[in-house]
Amino acid sequence: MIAYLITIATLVALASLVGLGLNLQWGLAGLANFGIAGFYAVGAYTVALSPVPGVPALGLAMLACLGLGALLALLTARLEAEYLAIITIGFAEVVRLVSLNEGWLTNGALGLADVPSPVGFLPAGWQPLGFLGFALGMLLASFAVLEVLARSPFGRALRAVRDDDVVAATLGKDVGGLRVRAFALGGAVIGLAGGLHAQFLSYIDPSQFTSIVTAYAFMAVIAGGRGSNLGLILGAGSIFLLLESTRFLKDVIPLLDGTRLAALRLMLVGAGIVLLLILRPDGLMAEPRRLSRQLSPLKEP
Amino acid sequence: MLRFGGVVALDGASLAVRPGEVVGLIGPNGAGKTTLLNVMAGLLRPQGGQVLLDGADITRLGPAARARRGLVRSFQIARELGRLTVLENLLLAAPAQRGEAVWQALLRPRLVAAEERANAARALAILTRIGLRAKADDLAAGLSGGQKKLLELGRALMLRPRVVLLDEPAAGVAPPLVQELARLVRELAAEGIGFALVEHDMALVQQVCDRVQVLAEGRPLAAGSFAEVTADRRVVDAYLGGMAA
Repeated sequence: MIAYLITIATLVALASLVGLGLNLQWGLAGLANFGIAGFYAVGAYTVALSPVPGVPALGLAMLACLGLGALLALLTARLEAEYLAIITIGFAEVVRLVSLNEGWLTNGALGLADVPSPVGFLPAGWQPLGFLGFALGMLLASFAVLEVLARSPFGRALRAVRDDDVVAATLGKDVGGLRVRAFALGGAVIGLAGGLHAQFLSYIDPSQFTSIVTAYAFMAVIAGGRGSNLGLILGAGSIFLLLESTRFLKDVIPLLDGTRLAALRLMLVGAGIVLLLILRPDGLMAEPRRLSRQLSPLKEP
Repeated sequence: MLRFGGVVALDGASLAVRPGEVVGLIGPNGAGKTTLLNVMAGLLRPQGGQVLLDGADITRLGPAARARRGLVRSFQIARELGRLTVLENLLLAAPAQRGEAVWQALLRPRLVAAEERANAARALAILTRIGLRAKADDLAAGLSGGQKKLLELGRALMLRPRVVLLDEPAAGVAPPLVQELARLVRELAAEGIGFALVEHDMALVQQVCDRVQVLAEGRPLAAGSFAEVTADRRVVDAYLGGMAA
C-alpha cells in the first residue's frame, strides 16, 4: 500500500509539472497547447537517449523543448494565437510518428529501456521514496520560478496579451515576443516532466505518450483555475484522487467488472469537473492580483 | 490613402496635432474617422501616405513601437482588461519595464520590486487625478462605461504620451463623467499633450477642441474653428447625407 501511495504521489508530481507548463502557456498567456503529449515525449526521449544521466539529462530535455516551443511559437508569431494551437496538434502527431517509425533513434514500438534513475545510488528499497523526493524537489523549484514570473510584470503583460492582444500592442507591449517566451518556457517545464517520466519508469515507448496526457493537463488547469499555479497543483491532485479512488469502487459495488469500471471512472472524472465548474466557474483558485497596499512606497521589501 | 478591396476608405485625409492642442475629427458615419485613427495608431497600414511623429516617419512601425514613442490611442468601445484590476491596468502600461524581461524578473527581484513601487506611485497619482483611486483594487470589468473610458485615458497617461488619440470618448458615458473627461483633456493639453478626438457629441467638441477637421467619405471636407466648420454649408450637407447636393 505504501509503495502504491508513493507511486501515485510521484505521478501527481509529474502531472503537476505538466500542468504548470500549460498554466504558463495557456493559463497566463492564452496559448492553447494541444501538443503537450509531443513535448512530454520529446522530454522523455531526450533523457532516454542522453549521453549523460541524471540532472544534466533533464537539462537537455528542457533545452530541447524550450527550443521546439520557441520554434513553434515563432512560426505563428505574426498570426492569431489560434494558429499556434493548430500547429501544436501537428507537432504532437509528428513526434508520435517519429517515435514510432524512426527505429534507429527511438527503437520504434519496442521503446527504450534502462533509463538510469537519478537516485540509483540509493539502496533498492529506498529508491521509490528517493525518486518521489527528487520529483517533488523539481516540482517545488519549477513552482517557485513560475510563481515569481506569474506575479512579475512579465506575468501581467502575458495576462494582458491573453485578454486583448490589440490593447497590449497599443500599450507598447511586444505581443509576439511575449508569446514566444511564454510558450518556450512552458514547453521546457513540460519537457522536464517528460524527462522525469522516463527516469521514473526507466522504460518508455510511444504508447505512453497519447493525447490523454494533454487532456489531463487541461483538466488540471481548468479545475485549478487558469492562471493560478497553486490552484493548478490542487487541480492535478484532485483529478488523480478521483481517478485513483474510483479504482476501489469495484470493492464496494460488486456488479462492476474491469471494463465497466474503466469507463465509469472516466465518466466520474468528467462529472467531477462539471460539478466543480458549476460550483466554482473560475476553478479552485483565482490568479494572483497585485493590490495597491502591496506596493505602498513607504514599505520596505 | 487606404482601400479595403474596392472601397476607398481614406483618400487625401490628413490630420496634424501640435503639442498642447486638441483637434476634433468629425464627420458623418462611415466618413473614415476611426479608420484614420487606426492608421495613425498603426493598427492599419495605408497604401499611400505618411504618419509623422516629431518629424520622424513612423509609417512602417507597428502599434507597439508607436506607443513606446508616445503615440497612444483609446477605443470607441472601451477595451479595459477586465480580469486585471484597475491598478494593474495602469501598471501594465508603464513604459520600459525591466520586470517584463524574464531574466530580470527572476534574477533581479529587488530592482523589479523598486520599479514596481515607483510605477505604482505614479499609477495611484493618475488614478487620484481621474477619480478612480477608490477603485484601484477592483477588477476593471466592474467599472461603469464612463469609468472605463477614464481608465483608458489613465492607461494612456502611464505611457507619458505626446499625442493621445481618443475614439468617441463620450459615447455611452453619463453626462457628469463627460464633463470630467472634458476637464481632464483640457488640463492635460495645457500640460503639453496633443489630443485628436473623434466625437459625435458636438457640445463636447465645441467645449474642448481648439480646431476641428471634417471628414466625409474619406476626404477632407473642411477645417477651422468649431464655429467656422459648423457654419459651412458643405458640412451641413454632408451630415444630412448629401440631400442638398
